[in-house]
This record gives sequence, structure tokens and C-alpha cells, in this order.
Amino acid sequence: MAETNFQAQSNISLLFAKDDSTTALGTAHDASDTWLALPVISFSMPHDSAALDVGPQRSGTHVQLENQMRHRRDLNTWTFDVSFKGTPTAILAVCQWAFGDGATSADFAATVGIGNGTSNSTIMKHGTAYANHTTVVFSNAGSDTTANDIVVKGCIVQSFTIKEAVGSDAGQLICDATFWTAYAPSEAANTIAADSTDTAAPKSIFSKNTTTFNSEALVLDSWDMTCSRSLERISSQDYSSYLPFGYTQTSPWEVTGTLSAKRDDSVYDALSVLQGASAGVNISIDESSGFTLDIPDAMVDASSINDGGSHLFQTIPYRASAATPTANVWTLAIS
Amino acid sequence: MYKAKPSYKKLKDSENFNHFGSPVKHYKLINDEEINVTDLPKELENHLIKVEEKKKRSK
Repeated sequence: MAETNFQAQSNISLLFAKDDSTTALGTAHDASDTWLALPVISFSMPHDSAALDVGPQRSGTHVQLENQMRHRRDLNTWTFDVSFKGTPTAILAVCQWAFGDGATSADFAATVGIGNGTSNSTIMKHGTAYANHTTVVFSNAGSDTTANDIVVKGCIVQSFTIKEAVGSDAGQLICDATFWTAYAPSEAANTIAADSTDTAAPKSIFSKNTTTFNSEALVLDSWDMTCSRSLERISSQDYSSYLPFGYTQTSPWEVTGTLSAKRDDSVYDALSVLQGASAGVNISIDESSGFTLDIPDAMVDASSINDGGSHLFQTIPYRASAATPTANVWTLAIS
Repeated sequence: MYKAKPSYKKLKDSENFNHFGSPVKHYKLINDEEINVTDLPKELENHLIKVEEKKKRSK
């Protein structure tokens, strides 16, 4: 007889562990840590599964044989996407799990590396305690009647975007994060409850009162900034547990984004920068208080005119860099 | 900008900047580097010392 339980998508809620101190990579956070119910808008979920590798074909056989096959659990990594409303708590938590600085002002320095705190470190080792990873619980997402939660440990943020637009999401700040782990999600009966529910108002483009690009005041229609890097697991400790030896970051962080601004005299005054002067310029996106995003060295990457509306906008794609190997790529003071 | 007093280095992970969400700031303080903090946690006020901000590079 068919089982009677089912999973309503609307019944799933997410909890994120914020370290009380540090937690060993590969160990799930526990009740002593602070569990945040952050303002999640949408999400995807990881599932414990593995790709099937097919060995060489035996000559004289005309089907694939069972003993050719191997599940490659030793190569497994999992990603899942979460979109948050841009409250200070949510933004700073994502910063902590991405590059290890979730205390305002969050400084995205050239030295952040994988985000474990040590300057220029690109590795995290299984069993070593760090404060830049989280455990995520998808409550009510487990398929069993009792083991009805999905628990994902060892999660760090591989990439994230913060964005605001006059024409979408009521102008609210949105943060899209892609979480990454090399530890298999488990289905379990989890009893963790939220210690803190984030009910703060998200930041808004309608509160931005000073936006400058190379010191020219812009009227923004939208803006975004994306930070991304590549991550890989380090092998497998054995071929039974399939635990990784650790993580490594295999590419530099790349910081890119786009400003869309009313096309006016300020745009003309920045013409030489838009044409391409091979020198970084400052971008500042500020509220009167509680939000100051400073990008000191951004270079424009093929600016264009957007004529698709009632008036013209200048689209300004940019790539942010650090002036020196220790300088900040950007800083965000948010409260 | 702030630097660590000697007492900061004696704090447990449940009391230092690891607890307040920033392993990056923690390691900088341990290495006697300056950190930029806009909302200093009250619990750390006695363990950090304010230093004069360096002038920003002009463009």
C-alpha cells in the first residue's frame, strides 16, 4: 500500500547555524550554536546522490555489464541556492560564510582567500575548527515520516549576488547565495529550533541617497554586485565514508556587477571612464545611515545605452579589483 | 580602526571575533593588525584600542 506522507513545499523552513565559537569542518553545528531563521525568499535543496562512472566495455559483449559501473561518491560535492531578503543579519551571515568577515564593516580584502580567517589561505581541513562554515537544516524536507528534515553540514558560500532595482521586489535588497559542501546531506529527525528570527526590514534602493561613480552623482535604476570563486573537495579519506580531506579554493575571487543609471549630465562627465581609461574608479552606494558600500577600484567593462524605456539609461558593467595585494576590493558597513 | 589589547588574545573563541562572525577580524587582531569596525560589540570594548584612521588613497 502506498505511504500516506507527503511533503508540501510551503511547509519547508530553513535554519542556519551561526558559530558560537568555531566548529570542526565535517561536524554539524549543534544546539549550543545560534540558529538563525533568516528571511528566505526561495531555495533549492541538495540530495545525497552520486554520478555513475562507466568502465571500459568488454569486447564481444553488446550490452553494458553491471560490473562496469561505479558510483563516484569520492568526487561528490553539493550546491544549493538560497535567496534572502537583504537584512543586515542575512547579508552579514552570507559574508561570514563566503569570505569570513560577517562583522560590519565587512571588508572584502585581497587577502580573504577561502575565508577561514588566515590571510591568503585557500584551504580548509576536515576536522579543523573554523568559524566560516555553517550547517543548514531544511525542516520538513526529509522524505521519511520521522526522519523528516535534511541536514547539510560544512556549507560555505561559493558565490553571492547583492542587488536592488526600482522595478523589482519593491526595491528591496536581495541576496542570492550559492552554498557549497563536500559532505553528504543527511535525512534525520532534527530537533534544533530557531534561536533568533530575523524580522528586520531589508535595505531598499529607495533609501539610497548618495550614489557616486568616479565622484559623479548617479540616479540608479538598479545595481548589483556578484562575488564568485571555484571550490573543490580534496580527494576522499577512504572509499567507505567518502569524507573529504578538506576543501580548496581553485580560482581567485571575481567581483563583477552592473550599475543602471539615468542617462544625464553625470554620465557625460564620466565619459572618459566609460570609454576605458585602464584605471580603477570609485563606486559608492550609500544610504544616509546603515548602508555604505564602497568599491574603491572598479573598471568599466563595455558600457552601453539602454533605450528600452520611456527615458534612457546608461548600463555600466564593472569589474572590481584590489589596488594592492592587501587592499580592499570593497567594504560594506550595514546595520 | 581598532587594534587588540593583550587581553584580547586571551579570549576564548566563544568570546572573540569568531563568536561575532568574523574569523578574518580575529586573525588580524591576533597578528597585531588593525581592523575596521563600525559596530563594535560591547563585550569587546575593553579588549580593543582605538587607533587613528589612516588617510585613504586619493584617486
